Amino acid sequence: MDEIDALRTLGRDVPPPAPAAKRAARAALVTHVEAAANRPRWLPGGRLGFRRARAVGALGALGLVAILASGLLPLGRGPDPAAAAALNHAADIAAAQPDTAGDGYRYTKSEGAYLNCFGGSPDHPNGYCALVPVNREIWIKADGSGRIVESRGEPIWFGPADRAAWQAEGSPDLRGQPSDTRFGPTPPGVDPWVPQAGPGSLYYQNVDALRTDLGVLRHMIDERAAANGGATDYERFTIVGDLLRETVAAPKVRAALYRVAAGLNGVELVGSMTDRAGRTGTAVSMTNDQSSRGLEQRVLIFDPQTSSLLAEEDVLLHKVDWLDAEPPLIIGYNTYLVSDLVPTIP
Amino acid sequence: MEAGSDAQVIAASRVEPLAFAAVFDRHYDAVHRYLARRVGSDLADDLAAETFTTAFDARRRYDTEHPDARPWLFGIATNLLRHHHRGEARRLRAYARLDRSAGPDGGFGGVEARLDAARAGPAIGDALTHLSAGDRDVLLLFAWADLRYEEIAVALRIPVGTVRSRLHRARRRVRELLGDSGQYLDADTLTEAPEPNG
Repeated sequence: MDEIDALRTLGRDVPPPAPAAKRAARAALVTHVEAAANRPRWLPGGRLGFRRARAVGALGALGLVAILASGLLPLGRGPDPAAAAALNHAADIAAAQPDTAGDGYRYTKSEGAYLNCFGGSPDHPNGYCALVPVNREIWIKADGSGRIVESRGEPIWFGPADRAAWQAEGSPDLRGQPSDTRFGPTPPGVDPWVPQAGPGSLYYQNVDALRTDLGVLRHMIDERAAANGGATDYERFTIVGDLLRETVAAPKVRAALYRVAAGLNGVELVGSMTDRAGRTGTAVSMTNDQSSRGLEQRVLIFDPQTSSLLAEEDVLLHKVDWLDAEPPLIIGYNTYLVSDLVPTIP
Repeated sequence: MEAGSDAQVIAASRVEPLAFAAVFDRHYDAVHRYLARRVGSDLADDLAAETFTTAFDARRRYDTEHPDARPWLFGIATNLLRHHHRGEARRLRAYARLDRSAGPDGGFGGVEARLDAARAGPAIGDALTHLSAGDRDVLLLFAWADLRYEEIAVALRIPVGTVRSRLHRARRRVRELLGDSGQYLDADTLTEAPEPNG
C-alpha cells in the first residue's frame, strides 16, 4: 500500500450529507436562481438599489451609495455589448477633448478607504481587519515629478468581533503618520513604463510611454499584467483603472484606455450609479474569482459627459471566515473629488 | 427523458436558469463528501451549498467543451476552502490524532486496510498539514475527488504538467514525512500514480 492508498482510506467513512442539509442547500440554490432572474439593474432616480453592501454602520453614516453586487458574471465569452457601448462612448468623449496639460500638473484630491488586516494573538488568532480611510492629494507631471500628501482616519470596523480584537490589543493607533512626499522627474534613460523602485519617480502613474494605438497599448497592458502575475482580463481591467486615475494621460490616451476596457471579456455594465460625493456616473464592473480573498468585484464609475473617472470600489462577494460581516462587502473604495490641471505645486 | 450532459444542462440554464438545479442533483453528494473529508460535515454543509450558488453565478463562463462539470465544481469548492484554512487545519489535526486501533468508526474500511491504515492514517493526516496549499489541493483532488490529471488541471486552471509536478512533489514530501515518523509504508520508488478509472 502506498501513500495514495493510505490517503484514500482517510476519512473514507465520512457520513453522506444529511437529508435536511441537502434539502436546505437545494432550496437555497433555487431561491438564489429566482432572485437572480428577478433582479432589476437600477431603480428610478439613477440610484442603484437592493443588495446594498451591509454590515458597516459607520459607512452608512457617511452616506455611501448602495452597490449592486450582481453576482452574475458576464455573458458568454465576448465583451458585454452594453458595457462596451458605454466605454466606447466615454472613449469618444475623451478623444474629442483638447490636450491642455502642457507643462502643468494633474491635481487629484480623493477620499478612500482600504482593507487592512492586523495582529493575531492567542485570544484572537485571526487578528482583526478594518477599512482604513485615506485622504489623499496628488500632483503629478508628465515627467513623473510631483507630490503626494496623505493622511489616514479612524478605522471603520466590519463588525464587533474585529473591533473587540483591536481593543483587546490595546486599541493601537492604526492611522500612522501623515505623509507629504515630493518626487523628482523620472531619471533619464529609465523606461517610464517599467515600474521602478527607488526615489524620485512616480513611476506607476507616469503615462508618457503610453501609446494611443490600440494594438500597441493592449500589448503594453498585457506585458504589465503578466508582470503583475497574470495576463487575465481582470488584471487588464485593473491596470486600465490604474492608468485612468490621478494621471496626466492625454485625452487620446484616455480614449484608448477606455477602448481597451471595452474589448475585455467579462466587463459588465452596472448602469447609472451615484457616488459618495453625490455625482451620478456610469458604472462598469468586472468580477474576479481568482483572488486570494475570494470572489471580488471591481467597479469603475465614470462621468459619461466628460469621461473623467469619478470613483472606484472593490466588493467582496463571498463570505470569508476572517471578516466579521456578510457579503456583499465593500473592502475598498476611492472617490476622486477634484481633478484639475494646475500650473504649480503648492 | 435523457437529460443530457452537464454541459448541455449548463448551457440550457443560461436561458432557463432553474435548469441548473439538475447540476446540483447530480453532483451535490460528491462535492459534499469531498468537502467533508477536508473540513468536516458541518462546514461542508455550508460550503457545498455555496459551491452551487457560486457555480450558478459563473455558469455563463462555463466551457461547454467539457461535458462533465465535476472538475469545475470541485475547483469552485477548492477555491472556497482557501478561505477556511483554519477549519481544514483542525480537521487534519483530528485525523492525526486518530486512535491507531480505530474500529469501524475510525474512518478506515476493511480489516487489512484498517490494520495498515491504522498505522499510516494519523501520520498521513499530519503530513498533509505540512504541504503547501497548492500541493495539498492537487493531492486531495486526486485522492479524494478521484479526478484525473487533466480534470485537476481544469479544476485549478493550471497546466497538466503543473498538476503532475505538484502531485509528484506532494507525494515525495508525504513519503519523507512518513519516513521521519517511522510510518513509512513501503519501499517502492515513487512512480506516477495510476489515475482513477484507468
